[in-house]
Amino acid sequence: MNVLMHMADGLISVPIGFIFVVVAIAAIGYSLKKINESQDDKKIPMMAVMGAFVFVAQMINFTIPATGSSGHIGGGILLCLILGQYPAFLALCSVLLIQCLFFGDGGLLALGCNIFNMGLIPCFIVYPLIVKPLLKNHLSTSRIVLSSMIGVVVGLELGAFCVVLETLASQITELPFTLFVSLMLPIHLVIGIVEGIITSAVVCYVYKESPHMIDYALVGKEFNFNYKKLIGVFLVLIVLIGGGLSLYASSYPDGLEWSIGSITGDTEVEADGDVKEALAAIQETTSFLPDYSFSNSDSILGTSTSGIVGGAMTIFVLGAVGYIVTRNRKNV
Amino acid sequence: MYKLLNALLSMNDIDNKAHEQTFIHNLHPLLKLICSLVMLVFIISTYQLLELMIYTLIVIIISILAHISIKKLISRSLLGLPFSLCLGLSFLIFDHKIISFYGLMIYEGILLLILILLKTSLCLMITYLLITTTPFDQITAELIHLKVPSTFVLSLTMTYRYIYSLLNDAKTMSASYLLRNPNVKAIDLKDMGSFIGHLLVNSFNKSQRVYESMLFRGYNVETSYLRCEKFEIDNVFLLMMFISFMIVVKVMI
Repeated sequence: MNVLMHMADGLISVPIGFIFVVVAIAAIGYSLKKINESQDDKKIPMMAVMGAFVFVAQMINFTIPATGSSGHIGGGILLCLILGQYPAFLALCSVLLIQCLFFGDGGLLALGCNIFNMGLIPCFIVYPLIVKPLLKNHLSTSRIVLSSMIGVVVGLELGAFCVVLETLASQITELPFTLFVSLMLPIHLVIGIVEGIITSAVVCYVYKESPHMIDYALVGKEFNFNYKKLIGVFLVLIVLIGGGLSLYASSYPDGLEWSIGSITGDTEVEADGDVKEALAAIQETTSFLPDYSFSNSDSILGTSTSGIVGGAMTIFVLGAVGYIVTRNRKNV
Repeated sequence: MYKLLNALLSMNDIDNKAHEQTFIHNLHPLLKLICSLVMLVFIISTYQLLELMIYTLIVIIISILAHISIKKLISRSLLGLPFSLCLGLSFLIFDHKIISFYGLMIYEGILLLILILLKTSLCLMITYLLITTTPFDQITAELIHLKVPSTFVLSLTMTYRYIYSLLNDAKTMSASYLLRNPNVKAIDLKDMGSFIGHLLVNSFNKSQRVYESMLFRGYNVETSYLRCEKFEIDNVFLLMMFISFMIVVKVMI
């Protein structure tokens, strides 16, 4: 049995869920507009491959020692540093949408909240306000490490705090604010440090292979250089991580589940109500690999299959986005 | 003679069809070539009936989008039937193991026969779809672009072009034979050897003359097809979508 990683519908009320869905749709529309304006189509294949990479990388839950919990990368800052904030946000949205619809990870109602916490905060707040100023005019390996660490930790802490605020606004009484926040922030601080290390390692590699990429992403310039080698490397990594390494992911509950479990004794909060039940029924129909495994089977092949299928689906969705964007531009 | 005439007409028909204007025809030739190759590899490498069914569905959708008659597509795919049937029947004769196929108990030989027939037909359908949606010159240009050895591309191009010449010669010879023998309906078996021999010698000479005249006019397989259509970024996206879809189908089934 694998660990589900994102907020479920039980953690929020229906109005809060809808508000965040609207916010997420607005942010997606704005990002699409910005990508259209930038006319940088060459970035989109990299966006698809990096999206798939984040999908499989999120499947690797790493154990947080002495806590009985685990963590996984969010990938927001990683994508921002390589692609720039708008393509990064779209790539993350695709990943979260696929995880929610086809793998049953994160509730359908909570999709807007998940996009806000894991996508909008790192891409629209942390990257432009913290990471960019740290890197501008000082692009070097040490600065990349510093900005990645700070960016990821701040992004993750803000995201975790927003989860608590969303449950508070939704009046989920099972999770008292003070207790929930006192568990969520420390555990996500540790997860953030590990994610910061992973992010800086990946970004430093990209910086070494193609220094232009980080620089151009930072200033929003066109990717007018050859990055076929990087695409190849990340495609191989997707297959290796998704098909093989994902089998060794920690089975401990992730930071959010661990925090909920420490308060309620169960890692999930029951989702009641007609709307939530209807949405859960839809999700059950669309999830063909629920919980990143085959239905009614504990075969380890399910995890490998999920990794490869999820990566391919992310590439498919972002390829479709790229195709629509370029065709629209040609028709105009 | 009518058979030869029909063969000639169908060759022309394929060439004319390749120049039509549909969504599939307007796709980049390299994209169609790569997608066809990917599909062939996926078809050859599978032994899952359900997976083959999905590929059949894809082929049908493509033929509908390309305005190619499904009836004709199926009739063309039957060309390989004798070969696949020979192979498949040997499984039927020698493989008597009973297996459960989605709860149905059948002989493994029967299942293998169906798989081989389906795989052969699908491969031929894909090849037919490629040549009826892409002019042969464009396929040649893309092969050169993909750095396929020029000798191979040259022999492929010449073979395709000489089929017309061969059929034309066969038609002329067959017409003169029938005019000299008004009471026979077809070429006699006793004359068949000399008929084919003459046809072969004639086509050798003719092909030699054609090729030499092409060379005199400056033909070079590597330089004659250099004006390739640019592979725009939207084709990259379509290719990404197609390959990722195929991977999802392959891994899921």
